[in-house]
Amino acid sequence: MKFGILFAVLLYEIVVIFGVGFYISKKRNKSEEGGFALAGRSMGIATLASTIALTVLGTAHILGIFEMAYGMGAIAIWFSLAHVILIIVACLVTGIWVRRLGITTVPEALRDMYGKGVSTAIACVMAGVIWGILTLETQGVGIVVATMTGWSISQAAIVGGILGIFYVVLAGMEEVGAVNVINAIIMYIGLIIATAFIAMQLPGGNFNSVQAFFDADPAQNFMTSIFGTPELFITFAVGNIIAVTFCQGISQMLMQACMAAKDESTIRKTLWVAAPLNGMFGVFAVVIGLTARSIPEFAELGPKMAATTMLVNMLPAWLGALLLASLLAAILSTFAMTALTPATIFAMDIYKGFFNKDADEKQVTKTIRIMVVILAVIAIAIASYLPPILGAINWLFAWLVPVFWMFILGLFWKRSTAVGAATIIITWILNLAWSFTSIPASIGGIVGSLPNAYVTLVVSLIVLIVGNLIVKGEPAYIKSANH
Amino acid sequence: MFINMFVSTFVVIMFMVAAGQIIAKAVSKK
Repeated sequence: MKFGILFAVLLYEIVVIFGVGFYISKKRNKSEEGGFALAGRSMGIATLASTIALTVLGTAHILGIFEMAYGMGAIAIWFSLAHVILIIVACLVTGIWVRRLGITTVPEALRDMYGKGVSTAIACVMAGVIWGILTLETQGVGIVVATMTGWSISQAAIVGGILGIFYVVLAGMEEVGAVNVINAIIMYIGLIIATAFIAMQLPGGNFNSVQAFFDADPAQNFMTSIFGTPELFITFAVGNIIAVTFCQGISQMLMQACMAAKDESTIRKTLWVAAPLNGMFGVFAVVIGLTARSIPEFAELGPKMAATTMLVNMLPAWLGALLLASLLAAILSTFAMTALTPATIFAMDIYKGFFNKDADEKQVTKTIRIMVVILAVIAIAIASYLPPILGAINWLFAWLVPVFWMFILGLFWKRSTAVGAATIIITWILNLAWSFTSIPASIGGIVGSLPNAYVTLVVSLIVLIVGNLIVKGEPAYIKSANH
Repeated sequence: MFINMFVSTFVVIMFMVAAGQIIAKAVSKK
């Protein structure tokens, strides 16, 4: 890539990130409670919608959907639609409640429901899961920067990681929100122009030739249907809906954005913008992935390289740069939130919860900043080993499924510390066993091929419901005096 | 193909959002 274009892409990121970061950090009242981590609970529809949409739109969406569309066809759109369902649940149920409870971290609510032991265990695992996603985002940043520069992925991850740290460390959540609005606009401009450009270069100036390619082969007819085959629908589409909705629906990653909203009504209205903003991205990614699969010279490169190589070859350099800059921005926004949220959990649930109970806002902000840098630096080091993205996401997401149901059932039905502790211990052991032992292989068939989230969903619901029916426990949290 | 997928996905998303809003309102009234 030409030096001038690379320079323009990096300059764009630097100007937006540093410009917005310094402007907001100068403007903000530093002693305001929750100012850094929660933007002073003042986010309006535009910043909140962009933040909700882009927080859960990262490496797996961009590099993952290209790859999934190549292998499975249009059913890959369900990865995106699963995130739409997640955003609906977050904006109408869990997000509303975390905002109503006035908490700063999700484990804070669980502490009131299930006691300090259970909530600390969940705080540690939740921070770990989000940090695991951060290592994948760092890898994604590395891959995109390496495509632009020709550097090694490790070198590229260091440069991208530094940009990611500054995305959040200057002014926290308010900075992330403002940068996200600009990046969401740039991302869609880049995607729309790039898709139109690719269509113009295909026979007839549209995507009909892609459709014709798959229609011509009966074995590949299912590739253009968003419902794919029945087996793919159960394992892939429904599997994604379960994993994404019940993990991210309670994860601090998305909940922290909802906690930062101006009020509950803003969260509800935001849904109308955030859902299509996130969901429509999948259409572009799937069409680009299918097009690459239908052109033999790119298809022969395999699922990982076909789409990106096609974009580099078919688009003019300036448009390729615009598209890469916008994809980089989308990954950086997820990087920023996956660094900020475990740092917030550490500062509030560990540092303030155990070591300095009287910490003021300045000390908390300083702790969050230090942790953002530490977590990001370790993630950059780990990303060099290139863990497999989709397999890792599947395993990571499954950890938080029991937490979602503990929150919902504890809030509205019944809660017991013993049942809560049993639920997380049993499901977490099972999640490890499902990934690292031969149990799924020995079960075999469709059950053996189910993703981890299916298993943790079924087991956590059984343990919670049976446990709550047997153990006396306490009434729903919304009926308690604490609430 | 692109236009079909774009329009149908947009309609599906907006339908899901509207259904979610209606269900949430109905449940909160109870």
